[in-house]
Amino acid sequence: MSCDQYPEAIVELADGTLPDAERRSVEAHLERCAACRALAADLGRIRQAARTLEPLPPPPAVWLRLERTIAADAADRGTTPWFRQTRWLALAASLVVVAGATALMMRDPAAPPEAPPAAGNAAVGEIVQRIEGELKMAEQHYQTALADLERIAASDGSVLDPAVTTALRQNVALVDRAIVDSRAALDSDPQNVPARESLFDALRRKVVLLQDTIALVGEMSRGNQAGAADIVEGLKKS
Amino acid sequence: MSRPGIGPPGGQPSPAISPSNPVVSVAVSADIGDHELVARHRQGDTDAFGEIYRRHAGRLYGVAYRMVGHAGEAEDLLQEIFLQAHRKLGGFKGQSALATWLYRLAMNHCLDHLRSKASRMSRATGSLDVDEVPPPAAPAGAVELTVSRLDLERAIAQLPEGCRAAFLLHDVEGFEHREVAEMLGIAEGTSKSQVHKARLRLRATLRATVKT
Repeated sequence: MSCDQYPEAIVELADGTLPDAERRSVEAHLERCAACRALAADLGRIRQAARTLEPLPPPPAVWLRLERTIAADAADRGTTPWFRQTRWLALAASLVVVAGATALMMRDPAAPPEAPPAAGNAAVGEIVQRIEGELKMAEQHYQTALADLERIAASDGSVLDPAVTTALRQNVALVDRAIVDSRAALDSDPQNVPARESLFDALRRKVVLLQDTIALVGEMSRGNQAGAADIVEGLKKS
Repeated sequence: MSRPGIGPPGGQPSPAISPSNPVVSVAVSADIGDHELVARHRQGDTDAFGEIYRRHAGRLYGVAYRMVGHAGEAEDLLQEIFLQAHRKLGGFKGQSALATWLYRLAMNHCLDHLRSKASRMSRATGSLDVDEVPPPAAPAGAVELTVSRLDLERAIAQLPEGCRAAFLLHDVEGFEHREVAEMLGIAEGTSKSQVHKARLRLRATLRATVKT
């Protein structure tokens, strides 16, 4: 058997699916052939690395959109829209918590978890009120920042490549759609926790997108093609 | 499937279903099998579909994202996949695992999406069958190959779509070739050959990265 005939057998060897007789022959060849030994080692490392690629938590907005579409389907059929049931909200809330926690862990793996607030029943109403006030302030803060970023990005838009500008507009439109969806869900049910989380998630994504846009404008203005290419690569993934 | 799936985080203990009212909606937990969830969904248990989403959305979103390489497109695909799953679960025969059925839906959506995108691109720029492009040469290399997750993700994104689909299902998601073949509607031998091609291409791409 020549080296050309070994790669497939080496792949099967790594998978553990090679019959015994062939396995012995391939192993004997590997002892003699450095190139095939390197191939076997590389394939083993690739296989190992592939197993470390993890599932990715989808943004909560996907669940909200799905929920609305299925509810519309149910309404068409004259059945009860199941998203109105409390347990669905609890489920959606848990999805948001998981996605949010994962996102936080991805951003700062070293950050210690926040301690849950210790509160008796009497204080719960007060705490909820305070959190809602803070959330309103946070939203105002986001909106002000977004308006500023959009102004800067728009004023320097001419230096961007038209194809990149189109892609950026499409990305912003996508995030805007998530914002509109979340707002609509929140308007119809102000206590909808997943909708609120989804809104803030979408707003955060828009801030990051616009910040990247401005950074891109800066790199292109400075003629730093490598830096601009890096940002465009990141934007493609966002 | 040789790898365990992701269980729902923080699952609540499930109260017993009342025998007098089997369609009563109850909280579902991790110890309920997928087929049982499908049965409950058919009987009108409104929690069952949410649990199915919670169990499988992360993996399907990961596959969709790695297939199309764009978060927004992957989100739209995930929504379409689960919408179709919701509409078609009534016809799920239970002959295969629910995960296999969902992955098949997902892969159909992803491949249709990529082909429709490629068709639009080829109309604008002329076609190129990437499956026919030979893989870059892989130097034997005395230097040990280190494979970072980021480099691997980038290299996977460069694979032709057929190889990419088979590689993701077999090497990343941990399905057997028999299952991959069923999901992609190909022969088992084709699955082996696609995964084999994918690994060699990945090696060549990753080796080229090391070289530069």
